[in-house]
Amino acid sequence: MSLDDRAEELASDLGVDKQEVKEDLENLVSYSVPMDEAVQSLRRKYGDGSSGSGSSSPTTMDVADVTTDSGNVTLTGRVLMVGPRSIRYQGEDQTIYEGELADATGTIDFTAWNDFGLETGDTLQVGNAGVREWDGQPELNLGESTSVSKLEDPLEVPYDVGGERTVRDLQAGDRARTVEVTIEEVERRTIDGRDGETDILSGVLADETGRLPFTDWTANAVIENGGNVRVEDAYVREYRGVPELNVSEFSTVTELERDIEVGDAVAADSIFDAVVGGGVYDVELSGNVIDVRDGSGLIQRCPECNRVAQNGQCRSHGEVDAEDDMRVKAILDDGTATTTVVLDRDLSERVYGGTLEEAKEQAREAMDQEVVADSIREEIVGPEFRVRGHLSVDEYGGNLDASTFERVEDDPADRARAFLAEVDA
Amino acid sequence: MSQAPTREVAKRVFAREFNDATFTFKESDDERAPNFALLPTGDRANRVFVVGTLTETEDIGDESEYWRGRVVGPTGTFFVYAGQYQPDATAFLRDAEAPEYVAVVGKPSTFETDDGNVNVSLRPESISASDENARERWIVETAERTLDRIEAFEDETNEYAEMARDEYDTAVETYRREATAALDSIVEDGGETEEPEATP
Repeated sequence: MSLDDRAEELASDLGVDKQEVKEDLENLVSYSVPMDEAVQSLRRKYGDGSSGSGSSSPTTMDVADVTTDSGNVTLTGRVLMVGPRSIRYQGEDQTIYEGELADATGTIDFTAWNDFGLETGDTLQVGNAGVREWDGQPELNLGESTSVSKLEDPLEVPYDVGGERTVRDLQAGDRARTVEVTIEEVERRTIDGRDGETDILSGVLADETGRLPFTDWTANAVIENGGNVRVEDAYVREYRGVPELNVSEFSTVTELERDIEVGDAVAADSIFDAVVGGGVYDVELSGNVIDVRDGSGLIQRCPECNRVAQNGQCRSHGEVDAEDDMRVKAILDDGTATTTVVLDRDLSERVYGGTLEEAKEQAREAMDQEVVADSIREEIVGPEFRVRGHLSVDEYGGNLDASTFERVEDDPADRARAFLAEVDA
Repeated sequence: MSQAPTREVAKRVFAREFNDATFTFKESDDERAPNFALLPTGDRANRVFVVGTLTETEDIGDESEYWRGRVVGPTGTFFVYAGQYQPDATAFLRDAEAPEYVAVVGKPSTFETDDGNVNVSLRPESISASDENARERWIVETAERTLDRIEAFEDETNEYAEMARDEYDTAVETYRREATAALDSIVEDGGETEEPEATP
């Protein structure tokens, strides 16, 4: 193989100008460097990892093959969405760009620490990007030593380009999302933020598919006015076990002309699906109540912190003049999984079939307040209930804060007929 | 996040399959580790939920009360045993006036008879009064769960299906027939009431 051929091959491998490579190669060979060694030397010079100069050199790979052990990688991908976010790092405010990159094989989250001018829809050739682990998943880091070039031809990927989502599809960790929603509740609050006192808005938004709490860190007037809005470049994080939409200084909020038909709570396919999927704001679950847990019925709360007090003793405030209250912690089970359902005083009084005063009367007569929990147990253990509320999930399982709690009285014969038809099909 | 719930789910299972679940096991050496019955359709059950008709109760205890109740489903009978450690369930069975509809949450329990047979029964955590509508809804739900289990029976990663193949001889097809027969029974019931009245 002639020097000219080697130079051509090398130039195409490294993606550099052939003339330049040829001159370098001629120069090395003229100094009696063996051809193979000269080629290796140039590979090192132009930064191709195949010269085997250690694990830190980048490797070209498919997105699906990137793992948390990948080190540095080089890949080609399409920007599904990208959005800026402000962080404070060592006392300095810094703008970073977060998003999702995809090729034909998969998707990966990325964080760009420099402004590469990335836009949703761009096809990128990314060289020497770092891989770090975030929440158990690999994530690309584009920084000082990363080369980013935009390619003319868009890469075809089997994923939706753009951040438009329905409320139901939003998940904690999402970046640069765009939603069209109705502001159902909004409230202005003053908080002690990182730059002193600042006003924020918090509330609840909804679309046809669901409902979520939000925080608007910019106290945007369009949101405060309520009505229907389009929010671009918002991010989602988990707050108290459920996803929450965050509107930041980088978000764009515009009034929306079209109508939004807000739906009822989304019924989960099963308790298992709802619990494994993490928290859900406003969901409907059905199942049988198979147990009523201790700490249900007539209880006493600390007037300071509202936590349950045992025998007039609060865990934080010692001996207190505890206030009577009613609640129910029931186990709801549909055969796929279980969750605890918490009924507040109102719903507890309803299932008890009497007021707090009547419950206290019953407890006085029996000289035991457990009789109230027993009455509730008799009433609700066994039957099937449809429960609506906010589901949060922690290491002890699901916790559904109920807003409605209704007996299921559906006709089983219809369900059996529909199911038989399905089985026979 | 997203961890499996820690409380044992109450499995929905018909009587025939429940009574065939004679093999029990633990998943760790810890002496307080939960005991599981191996369901022949390839799942484990530490707790079950049953709605059916309580047809007979009998105190079979010698010195202290020990109640046996028969809870009849569309395809067979569950035997429920409650003694001094299940005071609420015992009280329920003592006061019950069979026949009546009941909902039972309980743990599977096995004992070997003198002739070497293994009988499977239910040790109740709670028994409560129920109604016909709830019974039929339980049948539909139990059919759904049973057919879900049968669908997953051929999955290569289903360790309980593999265990069931090793421990039991009955084909899972039996339990599919049991489930569809149970569904048929309530569709037929519903059909009768909807029959148009004969015109004179």
